[in-house]
Amino acid sequence: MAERAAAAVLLLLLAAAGRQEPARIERSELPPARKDELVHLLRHDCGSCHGLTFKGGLGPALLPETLAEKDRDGLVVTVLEGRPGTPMPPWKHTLGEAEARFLVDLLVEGRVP
Amino acid sequence: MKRRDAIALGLAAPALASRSAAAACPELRGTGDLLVIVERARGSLLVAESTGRTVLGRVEGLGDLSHASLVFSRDARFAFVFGRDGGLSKLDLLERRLVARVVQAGNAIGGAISQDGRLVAVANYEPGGVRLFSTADLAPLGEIAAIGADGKRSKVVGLVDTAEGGFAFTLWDSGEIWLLDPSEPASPRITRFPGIGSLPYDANVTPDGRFYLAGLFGEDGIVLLDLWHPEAGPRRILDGYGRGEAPLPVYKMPHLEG
Ligand code: HEC
Repeated sequence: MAERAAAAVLLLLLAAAGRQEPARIERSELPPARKDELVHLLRHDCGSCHGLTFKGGLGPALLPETLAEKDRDGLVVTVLEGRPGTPMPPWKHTLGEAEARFLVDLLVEGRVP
Repeated sequence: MKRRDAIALGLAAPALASRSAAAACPELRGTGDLLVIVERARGSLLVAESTGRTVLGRVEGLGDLSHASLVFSRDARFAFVFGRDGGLSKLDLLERRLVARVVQAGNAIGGAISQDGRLVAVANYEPGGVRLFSTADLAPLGEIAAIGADGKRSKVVGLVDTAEGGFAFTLWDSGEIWLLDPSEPASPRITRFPGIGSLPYDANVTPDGRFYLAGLFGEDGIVLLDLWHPEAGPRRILDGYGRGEAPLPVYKMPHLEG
């Protein structure tokens, strides 16, 4: 448990470091075509575990009501780093931090187009 | 459009000869040529025929079909559709209408029909378990909570019918295979095989009904149970079959197909 918390803190630090990188683009700067790609990825790749409508599949539901209590930065870290020891894979090789945050915002706010 | 009308008229004449058949089903046909198309986002199903490649009709009101699977009745007239919202629908392929529908759980993944054609079993994620219904009218007949060796309720995957008249299925969370003998559906007999490996995500049975195979998400291998000799227990096959140079993350939840 303590180990897991330590790991989470470390991941948060890593994510914070990532955010300072000048190469990363801000959420508002994501081009519309990339946003479309990301929404497609969200439904069809993330959706293969979490359900096309995010009501849950073999992975947990990702609905506004299930995510409401959770820390948004923590969720972004989950998307980028995955959850080792569970099927949740790390997406940092495919997604930048702003892109992961864009997806988490859509989910938490129930705004997936 | 005109052409289809002409075909319908052409069929009307012989159908008149047999009045009862005409009343029940004006377009007398078998189902061997039919196919169904799941309209995931609409929650409906198209029935089409594959010789002329025409759509015969649409059946609506099937709930959340964003992940849907279906099986056919023994006489191949009816389709049983399992939806993401736990809906179980029975539809008549010839009349293209919903015959019965129950929302039997919060989230379902699929199911199977017993060899004798009398029972339809549904595998559920939420709440994790299996429910049994009559294929005639979807009346509930039995329920099995999938409480694994860890004492927790597990999601159920890979539900198939076995040649012995029962069902086999797999517990995702606790990694077990269960065999179910539904001779008494209200109190079915269960044989449990715990500890088969980490996170079995799907399973199927060979066409001869002999070997039940469960794929593992959390390990690199497949579990095989010989249904002719279940007493021998499950064993691992194809260990390391997915191994490349380094273990890599998996970005999709797979199905296991035979
Ligand atoms: C191979 C299956 C799989 C895929 C693909 C997948 N996830 Fe997950 N995800 C999981 C599982 C399983 C968990 C729960 C992990 C745990 O037990 O802590 C999870 C957890 C999460 C969580 C944390 C939920 C919570 O309540 O804490 C978020 C957010 C998330 N995933 C987002 C995504 C996004 C976004 C994608 C696509 C970019 C994605 N996931 C793709 C399996 C998957």
